[in-house]
Amino acid sequence: MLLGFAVSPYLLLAAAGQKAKPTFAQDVQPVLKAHCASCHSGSEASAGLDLTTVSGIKRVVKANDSKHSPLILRLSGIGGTQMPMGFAPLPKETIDRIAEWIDAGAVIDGGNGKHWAYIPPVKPSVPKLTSPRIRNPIDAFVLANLRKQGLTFSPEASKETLLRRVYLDLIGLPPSPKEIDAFLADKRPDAYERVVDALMKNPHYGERQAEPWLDLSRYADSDGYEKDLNRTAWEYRDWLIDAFNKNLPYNQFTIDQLAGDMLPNPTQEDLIATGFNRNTMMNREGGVDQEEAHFNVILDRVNTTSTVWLGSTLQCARCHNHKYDPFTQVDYYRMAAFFANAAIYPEGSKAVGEEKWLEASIQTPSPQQEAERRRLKTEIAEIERRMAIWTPELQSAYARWFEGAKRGAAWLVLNPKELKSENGATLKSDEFGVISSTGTLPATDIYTVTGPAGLKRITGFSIEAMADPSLPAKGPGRADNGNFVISKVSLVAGTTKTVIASAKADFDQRDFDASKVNGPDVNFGWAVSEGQGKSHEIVFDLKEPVEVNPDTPVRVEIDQLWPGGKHLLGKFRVSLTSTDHPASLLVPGKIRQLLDVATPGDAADKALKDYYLKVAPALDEDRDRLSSLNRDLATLEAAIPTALVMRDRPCNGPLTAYVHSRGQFLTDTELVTAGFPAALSAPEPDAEPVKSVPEPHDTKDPAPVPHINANGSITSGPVRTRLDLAKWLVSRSNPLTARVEVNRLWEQCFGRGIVETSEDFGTQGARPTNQPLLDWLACEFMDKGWDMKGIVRLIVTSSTYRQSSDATAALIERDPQNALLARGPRFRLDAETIRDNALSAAGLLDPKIGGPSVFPYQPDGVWDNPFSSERWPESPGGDRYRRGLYTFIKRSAPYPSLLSFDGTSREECTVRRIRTDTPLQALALLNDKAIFDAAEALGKRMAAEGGKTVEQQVAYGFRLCTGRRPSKVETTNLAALLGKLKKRFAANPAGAKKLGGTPSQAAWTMVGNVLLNLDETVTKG
Amino acid sequence: MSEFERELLKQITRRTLFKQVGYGLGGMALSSMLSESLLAALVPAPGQENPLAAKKPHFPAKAKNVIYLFMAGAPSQVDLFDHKPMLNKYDHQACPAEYLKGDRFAFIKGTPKLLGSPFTFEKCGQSGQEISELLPHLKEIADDVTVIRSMSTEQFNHAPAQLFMNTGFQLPGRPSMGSWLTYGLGTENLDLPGFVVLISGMSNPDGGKSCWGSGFLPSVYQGVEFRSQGEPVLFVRDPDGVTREIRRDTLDALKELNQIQYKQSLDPEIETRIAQYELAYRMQTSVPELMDISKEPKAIHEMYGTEPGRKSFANNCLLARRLVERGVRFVQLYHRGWDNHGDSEGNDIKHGLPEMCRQTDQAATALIKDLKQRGLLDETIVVWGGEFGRTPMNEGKGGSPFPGRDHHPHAFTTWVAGGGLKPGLSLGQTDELGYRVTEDPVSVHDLHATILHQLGLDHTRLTYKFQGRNFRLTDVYGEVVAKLVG
Repeated sequence: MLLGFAVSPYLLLAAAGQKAKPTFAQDVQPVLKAHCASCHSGSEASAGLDLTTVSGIKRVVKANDSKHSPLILRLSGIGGTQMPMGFAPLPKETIDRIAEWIDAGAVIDGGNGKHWAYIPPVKPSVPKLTSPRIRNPIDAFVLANLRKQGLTFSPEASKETLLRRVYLDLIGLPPSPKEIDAFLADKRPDAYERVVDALMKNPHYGERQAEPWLDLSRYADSDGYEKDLNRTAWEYRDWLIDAFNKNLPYNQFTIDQLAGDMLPNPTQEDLIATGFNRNTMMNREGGVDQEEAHFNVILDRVNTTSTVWLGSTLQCARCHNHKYDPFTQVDYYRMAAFFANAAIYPEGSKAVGEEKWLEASIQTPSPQQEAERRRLKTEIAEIERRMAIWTPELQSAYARWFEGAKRGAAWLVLNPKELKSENGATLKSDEFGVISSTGTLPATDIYTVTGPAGLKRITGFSIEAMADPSLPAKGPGRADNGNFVISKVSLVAGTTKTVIASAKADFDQRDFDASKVNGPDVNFGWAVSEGQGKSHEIVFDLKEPVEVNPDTPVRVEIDQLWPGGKHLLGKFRVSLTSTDHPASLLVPGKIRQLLDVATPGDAADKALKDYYLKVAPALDEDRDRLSSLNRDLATLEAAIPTALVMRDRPCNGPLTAYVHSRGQFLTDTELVTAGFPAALSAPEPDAEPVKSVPEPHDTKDPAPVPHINANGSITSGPVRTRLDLAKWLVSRSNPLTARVEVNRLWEQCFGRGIVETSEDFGTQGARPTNQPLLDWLACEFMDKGWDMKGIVRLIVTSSTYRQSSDATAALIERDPQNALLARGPRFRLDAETIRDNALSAAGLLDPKIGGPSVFPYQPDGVWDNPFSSERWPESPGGDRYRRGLYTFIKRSAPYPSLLSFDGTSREECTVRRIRTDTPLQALALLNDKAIFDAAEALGKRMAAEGGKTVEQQVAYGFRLCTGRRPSKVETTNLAALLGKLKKRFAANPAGAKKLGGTPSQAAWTMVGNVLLNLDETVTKG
Repeated sequence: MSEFERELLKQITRRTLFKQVGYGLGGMALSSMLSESLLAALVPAPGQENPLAAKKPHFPAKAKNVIYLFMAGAPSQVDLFDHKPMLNKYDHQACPAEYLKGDRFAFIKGTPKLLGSPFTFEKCGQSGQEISELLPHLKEIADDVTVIRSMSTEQFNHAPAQLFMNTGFQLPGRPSMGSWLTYGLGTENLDLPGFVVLISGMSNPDGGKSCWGSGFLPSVYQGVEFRSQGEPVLFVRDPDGVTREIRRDTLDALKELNQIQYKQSLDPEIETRIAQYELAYRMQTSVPELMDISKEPKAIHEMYGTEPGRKSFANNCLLARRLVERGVRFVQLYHRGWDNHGDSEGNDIKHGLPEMCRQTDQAATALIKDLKQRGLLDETIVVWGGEFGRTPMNEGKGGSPFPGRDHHPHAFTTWVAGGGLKPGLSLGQTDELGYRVTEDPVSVHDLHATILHQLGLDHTRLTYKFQGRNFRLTDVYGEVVAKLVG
């Protein structure tokens, strides 16, 4: 094998006809760093030669004379041990390349040895070219580059193609036939610019622009890892949409996301924006060392922030100094210090390994919710205030209650003459009126007990549920665990139906208290779990006492309807009383003791009075109102969305973080203060006065983080926070931020960035294909106040963008990736847009913007996480057909058809999705129910709206999908397919029926299926 | 440059780069030397060459395929393979402090007590491998398997440890072993995915679908789940009422229309798409055929303990054989449920662990026997193991009376078979409590390096450049275990 692994890139470069001059940054520096610097660098450099400095390199390089340059000689094994010492010699091609660089003058890029991307951009002058195709400076830069290569622009794309392209790029949805017709008819010279302006005001603009940011910010609706529980995070997604629609300047957009919480008087929106860095994963698995998990969260914030804003691979410096780029491990942990002071809220039991470190979240009520909450709270406070006032009436009622409670109510046991079980239990009474239920144990039952009143006046009644060794768990209920649930009760004296005013029990099961009896929800009632094996009593006050004769029959009905089943009383008795307000006299044991010892003014007296306020019959109405208000408030609170936000703890002095040797959590070494990577910032003065740390929103005792930081232990030095970091990122002197963002905007439109490796602007990344253009755009961006819409508008109104994407064989050969842009962009749509385009063509799309994430159809069994019962709850109605970006993202089990089209799991920041083309994509597009629904709807739409002839109908469908009219042959093909399918289905009407219709309808569905699978439908051309 | 080189270079067009260089992997390794933009200009655009087409390895391979039986939840090595009489001798006595010093546990608090194994061990076969009574079937093939008792990992929680075991890194984002292998070697049967995942047991593994994700590699290399219930592969089934003829009609029409578009734009991507639809059509036949085990002979069903239509480890073992038979490069089975903490009787060492063995032992053994009888074992590496081991100590979480063991990263057992690895070998030793490895340590990266080696790949050369760095499955670690490869 002649070439094998040792093939030099440069030979290949020559082969590809792209022979480029060697450069220091591309060809020399990486070699020195990779093969020489481990010995020849730093204070103890071998032979005192530091090859990481310009002066060191100059010692071994004689410009224009490679033959006499020690660097080349020693690498070639001449004049001493061949370098690198102890390693295999470098490939000849590599050495030749360095020699070539020396012979060309040994220029160290930028004159100061700095990689191009680390030198702040200077706005280049626009090339002076004359061409009618130059619409704005972009075209001049691109055309200048093309002319150097002997190329020129392709013709302008057709109006139909252009319209679809710009719709998909700006709002992510295709134009409707009506919009296409209007544009075709608009002969004004600025018709296209008018469309662009309108699209930029379209509220769907923000949705499309937010999509790449959801990948960048690793936005998801679940925590990730084992349990991968759902979280509420969508407020951040909606903030993004809104920010793009408002055209928030990129510098503010940056500050809000990284440090919105540190702005003076932050608004709710400012806080929601910080969700950017709260989108980190969270490992809720049992037994996880929470500090280690939090350490990983902090580092993810460093990595993501530096990837998104600096286009830099700072994460390489987690374990050691960056091998290629000028970032040290200290730089890395200085960045980490900005994030290492997050407020932690531990939750769960540490003793059983279930402690979780949560971070801050806030409620984000709508103005209406906020108003409603204020109204409820005001009224609640008012009632509570009123109820605490000891009016003379209340005082005298208290005195009466005190005496009554001391004595207790006088009870007469109802002597049952008639016992009835609705569902077949056997009820029997003994001579003391104690009733037992035996025999059949139905799921639910209604007991009716009837007997003579025995009294002249009935003010209330009681049911005693009685424990007994014969019952399961000693009763009092017949359920396996001795429990029962009383759902409803009623008392009829003669013909008088009574109304129950209140109920009280000596013991209540949690959530099953006495007040639930006769309540609206059959899932609740009075029950006594955790009090089984003992007798319990519930007392009911009647609203109006009933006057009766002692022999008037009194009927008490006890409904036991709990849906869980078989929770019936086992042994009980019913008693009546004439004492006023008997329920209030049923006092817990502790209170009963106080009754005997209280003297006015002492603690017991106070406790009794406090207790009385809770049961006083005179306050019943207020109490009812209060509990209803509290219920409303709880319902409202549950409906208020939440957002995950950044929040720091207080800190005296600079924020700090430990450097972790080899990046490992347990190996914390040096403590460093928060700061910016040295290579990207001007030298700082040694000591700045300590300034005050922003007032924290929270002063809770911080959880100790011994391996992460020792905040407060360094008390001098400049104090910098995330806010300073954000401001530094968007300062004019930052060489990267503007370039990185305009490059991404460019990539969105052209399918590849001016720097192809949009995630890496470092020395190992791709060089810009047109640096003057990139720098001009970056400077223009900053000059115009970081105006994102402004840059997008420049791009989409350029001639470069408006070219036809049709290629020639020669162009494909010359520039297969279209790096030079001698033709327009043509590439497959993103996963979300494929869905949106299909639903839109079919007329199914629900265009609602924002709100909680939705659950469109997903095959069964995709979600199946350990220790989680969460299942995919398919959304009803229009939510099944919302835009792709609203689909619920479960990190451990992402939505299959989005994943299949290179969508991401959002487990970490993704800058660039690599487009693939697989058979699984074909299967998803052919058969995924969500897309097949669209095929069916599209079929119906063609047949109903397309026109009179089959040709018109299929042409209409074709246009809905691709934005253009089909050619004659395309129409003929589709019409022929329809005919063929109709015949097939006519011969198999049962098959057609399975597809939901007549043979003709089924055939239309399948034509829709084909149209949605066309290459052109899923491609932006 | 020689005239010959010059001539050769002329022939290196984007389309033929890999072939001219001689083998795909050369091209792939080469890619790591090139800047991405340069690479993009030189290597075939996505799909122009099928990225899954079979490629030659770095050096002659001993094995072609891998079947990885991933025992998610982590089986207890001291009850199955690593026999420690001292644990029984000092049963329920405090674990000596020198062992525990500086150690972190998931759930154990305070000083734990040692827990002897309630099971007996036996030396089996000519090799004399010690295997527990819980694995009666495996005992029969002791001479065919290599037991590594000296595995260790760096992670002691399930999700990070499963990611580590599958991708060589504890956080999501790196490609899994199956992805690396299909990236490096392609696959032999283009009618099927090159990397297939089969799931049985309690649920999906703790690490989620990132366990078979492609990380920063193109998503074409991610594992494809073949499902026991519903469609065998998502969306492989046409909607009810769509016959094969109708699907053919529609695909023919689609192809014609796409060809018209190709003539207009000359975008090679269209040709690729046409080919992928044809492949999809073939998969619609090949996948259901593959998944239908009902026609396997009775003897085979009896051997594996399979029942057609069930979601079971046994069915998946049989499917794994059918997959490698058809040239699928990497098959991974997940069977979750080995997390025997002892917080209830159902998941303790005395009841839970034997149940897991009952679910898996017969089928795993049958798989080895079946591969062997078909002559496939030589070219297939079978790996059996979890993400870490279990503590020699009782966990006793919340005072639980049931014997259970916590997560243990320092020493555990994995067995391998086939693929030219030394059969019958017992590799590695642990200390008398089975707490730490004392001889022949094998790290996760070492295991990866060794598997790659058997497939003809140098783990330091199988790289992919992402964000300026050449990444490997083995990160910056890993050595081929010489004693295993012979």
